[in-house]
Amino acid sequence: MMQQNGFEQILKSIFPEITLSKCAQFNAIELKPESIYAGLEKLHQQSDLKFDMLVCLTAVDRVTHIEVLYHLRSTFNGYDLIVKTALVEQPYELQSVVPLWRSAELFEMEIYDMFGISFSGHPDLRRLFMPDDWEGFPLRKSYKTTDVADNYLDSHKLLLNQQE
Amino acid sequence: MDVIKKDFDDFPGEVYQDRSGHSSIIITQIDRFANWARSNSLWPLIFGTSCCAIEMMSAASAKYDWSRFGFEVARASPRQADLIIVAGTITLKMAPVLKRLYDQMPEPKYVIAMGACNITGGPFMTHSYSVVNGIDKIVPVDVFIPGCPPRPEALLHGMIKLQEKIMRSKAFVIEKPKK
Repeated sequence: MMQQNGFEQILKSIFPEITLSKCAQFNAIELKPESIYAGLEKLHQQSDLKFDMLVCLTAVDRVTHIEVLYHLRSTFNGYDLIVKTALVEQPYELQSVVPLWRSAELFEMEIYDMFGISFSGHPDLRRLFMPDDWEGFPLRKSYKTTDVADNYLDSHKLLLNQQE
Repeated sequence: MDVIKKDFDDFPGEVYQDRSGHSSIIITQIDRFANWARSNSLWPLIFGTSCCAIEMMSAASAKYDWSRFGFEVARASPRQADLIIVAGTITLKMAPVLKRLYDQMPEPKYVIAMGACNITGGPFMTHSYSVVNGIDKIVPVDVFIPGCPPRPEALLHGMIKLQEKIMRSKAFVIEKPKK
């Protein structure tokens, strides 16, 4: 518990108006999309915290907005933290955190592939899992999956009755 | 020539031998003979994309041993194979690959669709954006084996069914898929 209080105080000293909430077993804070890079940079560099590892970077479509979650870990101090941010307006855009954590490169490619969030400053932002000529972003709630597979086969002349 | 009839259980025809044992006469139909040879020596392509492939490996290994039925010459190249056991989910990205592998195989060639994913899309049938709902949309399928995944016995049963199908086919007519 002592450690928890110390952790909260350090966070409060960096982000004075932040509230610490719980997200499963982790502590979580929410930042605004425009200040996300500056905030994460502080968490990365602040010597009391030193979040040197980006465990996971993922997104959730909440219908009203898309939530992006940064799962951070400090291997020096043993802290875990989730940093959330909500993207409301299209086109969804965020600043890439590849300069801070190299592991963000593939995570951001995946999020771009599935949710269509473009990360400015990413070295090579393109589709990771879906075919290069795919249209739409399949993990958005608004994405319609009806006949998607059949239409793809049809447009690529892969159906049996289209072959010579 | 004075000949006696010899008994061979599996051979599709009659075999006669003269009393000295030096020369033999075979009476058969060319179709039945070719089908007999083909069905007892199917060379499967090594092609597995997910959990069905684990069952296929099990069917190939010592416990189930598909070489009892003549399937043991598994080939890594489609040019040398005449049977493709599609073991595992075929995604949209994999679909062109499957079609190319099938096209590269020499005639006569056969396809076994193993598992629910290959029959209808299985668990990915209704709301998936990335799975082919049934490989019979891409390649003509000879035998469907249901199961998720099918047990090795089911695979062997399906392969024996394929052998029966080959025995009934016209050996020198290539049947093109119906449009």
